[in-house]
Amino acid sequence: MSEMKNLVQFMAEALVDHPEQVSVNVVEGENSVILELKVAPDDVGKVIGKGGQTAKAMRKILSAAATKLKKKSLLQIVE
Amino acid sequence: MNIVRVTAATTEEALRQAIERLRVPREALQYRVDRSEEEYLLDDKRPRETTIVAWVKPDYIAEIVRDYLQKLMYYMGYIAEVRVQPEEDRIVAKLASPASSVLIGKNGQTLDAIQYMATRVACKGGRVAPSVVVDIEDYKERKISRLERLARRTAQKVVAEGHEVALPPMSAADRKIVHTALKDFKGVKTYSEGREGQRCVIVAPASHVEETEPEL
Repeated sequence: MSEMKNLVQFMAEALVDHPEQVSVNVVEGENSVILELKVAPDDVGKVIGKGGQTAKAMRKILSAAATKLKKKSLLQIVE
Repeated sequence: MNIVRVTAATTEEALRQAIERLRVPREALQYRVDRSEEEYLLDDKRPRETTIVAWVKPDYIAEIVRDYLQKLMYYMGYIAEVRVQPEEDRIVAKLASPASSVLIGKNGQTLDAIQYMATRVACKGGRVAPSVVVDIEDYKERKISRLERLARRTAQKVVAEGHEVALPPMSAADRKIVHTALKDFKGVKTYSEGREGQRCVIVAPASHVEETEPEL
């Protein structure tokens, strides 16, 4: 699961002003994996984007990367 | 706008302001002096001034995009060749990969997401960057000609059979390609119907639309 964690970490770090404050917590379920993304308070807008566009794009890329895995990967942005 | 025009007391000062406005380091900047201090002096008795025109080197942004896409492919776990070409007013990144179908995704949605992320990174921190286009094995080019063919074929059918035809739901960008392709097609009229996500182009006989128009 660390591949998906690293992917989310990379995508978030490339967008924010405080990459050192990016963290991804992995919550493994039976059929799915939840990736909880946490960023600095003033970076939240940058990972969500206008109308949620950035979060949507990251989810799309994540699911393309996760096709090789048997589990569904879900990205959650936690505040 | 990727070009700024700055007037200041000295070229040095004008450059400093250009860097601030374009938000890139000095080495990423290209400029030419539009009017030198000497020219201003000859002109009249105005104070010493100089005007420069400055822009971000296309190669600078292209390198950022290339680096980002290479790393993104690595973290996604796919082997891909990334070629980035700065063009006049945009940056074109072309990917080639054995996993191209996954990277394109359903209706090109994954490719659109990759392009969106590359664009965000190119203009990070308010940096003034040209638009970024990401294509995989000419998918976008092929898609345009496929949509144009579909549009013409549908229009011919509408003219022959005399009733309107709804195309499958498409994104705004794809609908625009269809509208544009049929703009000058005699005998048909196009418009879009439905909510976003389900919105599709309707190709209708032109006379139908005229009939419903109010008479003057």
